Amino acid sequence: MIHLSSVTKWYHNQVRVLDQVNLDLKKGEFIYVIGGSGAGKTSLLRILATEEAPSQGSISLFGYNLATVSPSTLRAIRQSVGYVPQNVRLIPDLSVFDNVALSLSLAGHRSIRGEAKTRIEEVLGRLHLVQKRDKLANTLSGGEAQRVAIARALVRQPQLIIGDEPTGAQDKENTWSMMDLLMKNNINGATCVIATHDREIVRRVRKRCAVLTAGRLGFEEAMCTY
Amino acid sequence: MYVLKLALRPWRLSTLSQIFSSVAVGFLMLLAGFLIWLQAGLNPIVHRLQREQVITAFIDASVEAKDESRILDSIREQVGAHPTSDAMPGASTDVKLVAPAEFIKDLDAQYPELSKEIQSMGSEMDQIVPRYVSVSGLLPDSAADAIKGIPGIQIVDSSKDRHKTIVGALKAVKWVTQILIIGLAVALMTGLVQLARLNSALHRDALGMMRQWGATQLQLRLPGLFSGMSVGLTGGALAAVGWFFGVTWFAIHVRAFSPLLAGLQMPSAMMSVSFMFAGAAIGLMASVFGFTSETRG
Ligand SMILES: Nc1ncnc2c1ncn2[C@@H]1O[C@H](COP(=O)(O)OP(=O)(O)O)[C@@H](O)[C@H]1O
Ligand SMILES: [Mg+2]
Repeated sequence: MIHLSSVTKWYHNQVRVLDQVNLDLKKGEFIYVIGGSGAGKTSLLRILATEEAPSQGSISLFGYNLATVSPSTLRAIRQSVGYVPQNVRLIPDLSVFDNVALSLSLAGHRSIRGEAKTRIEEVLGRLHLVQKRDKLANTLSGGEAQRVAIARALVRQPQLIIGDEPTGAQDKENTWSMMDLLMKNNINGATCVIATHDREIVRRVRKRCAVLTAGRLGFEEAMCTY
Repeated sequence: MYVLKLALRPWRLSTLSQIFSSVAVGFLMLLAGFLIWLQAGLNPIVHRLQREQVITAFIDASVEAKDESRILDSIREQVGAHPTSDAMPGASTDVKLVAPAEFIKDLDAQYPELSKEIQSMGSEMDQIVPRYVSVSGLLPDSAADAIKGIPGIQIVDSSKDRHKTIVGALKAVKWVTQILIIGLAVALMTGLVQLARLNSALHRDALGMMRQWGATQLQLRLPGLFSGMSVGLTGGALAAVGWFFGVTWFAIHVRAFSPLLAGLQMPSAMMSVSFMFAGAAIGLMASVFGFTSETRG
């Protein structure tokens, strides 16, 4: 499913943000990427989400080497990914509903109009966003915007979920309903890569974890004790 | 389609730029429309001026009255022997002898005193009052020379040389008009391409996200194409309204400048519709050229 070998990343030929990272993930696995601020979590997830290419090393997703993949296959891969970027990146002048609907409409699988609407509303409901349905994205609070970003990623029922500190701006209640939603997707077969530095989540929802320290993937555990 | 909802973003995010551009597009298109009309309308006028001439052939005083009809016939033969293939249908060549009596009558209308004085001269009058043949119509270039060769013809005067200056002037106007039309088209395109680039930059966040979601090249381009088209269409609509209400006024004024320009055809109000299509097409084309995306594909 995911295979990283000796992935190294540096910006502007300066310091190494990622250093010889190796990682293997099977379909349906759930992994935390843990590390302090500046450890390189976001850089790693951006590479996994095909937003950036590694400076060195190779990455393959769904069995395709991203360095040699054709544009149409790359599009298909991207359509199967639900990515929650750390900086959220909603389209500010579209409504919450339209932001989510745009993501769904680009996901490739044709769906009936009414069905798509039901699915969007269901996801919004689970993330306590029903009341915000028609609000413009730029009027939302940080936490609300982050939940919309999660709805936008999950509505497409992705095979790979990449979340960059998705609970970063949430209160307790929303954090747990979000984790609940992620676990449901995971049980249904979605592979999950979640970056976080929230110890409580990691302790409560025990999963495999990888710890990043200064760009190196220090140790991996089957059950996290972070 | 939610992709199309993005097409109206530039109208929300930089409304003034879109409005100014639309107005500019409308104005330039309207101007170009008028110039095209003028340019096309001048064609037949110039063509006619180039072919139409009035030749005045003065008959020698020694020619006797009984020979006049013989001269008239040879002129007809000369002119008719070279029927121009591209002569305008219905434009007949007119050959007529202006006898002294007729000349006096014409003179009488304009200068009655002079006319009376000449008439009082009696038989000597024939020595002063010219007899001439007036040939008018769409004549071949060689007509004046041919008539000159007929025995009994003293002097031949053609209006062709007098028309030369005005034909030259009209040709210059046409030429300048064509350059202006090209200039307007370039200005229109440049402005719209710039706008499309600006709009692409406005869309950059959305384009980056859409690419991340696996959008196709077409889906990435659609918002920009529709934004460009909407500006072009708005401009076209403004031009259409301007044309519909302004063109008659404009044409009447241009035609009033000179009897020559009165020959310009009245422009059709239906042209308005083509402005809309042209506007949309120009907007679309400009957005194809103006599309920029800096994020990696
Ligand atoms: N686009 C960039 N250009 C230069 N340096 C960057 C860029 N993105 C991240 N970095 C640097 O890479 C390091 C790791 O950043 P990041 O991956 O965001 O860590 P984390 O998400 O774990 O906090 C930081 O020192 C950051 O300054
Ligand atoms: Mg980060």
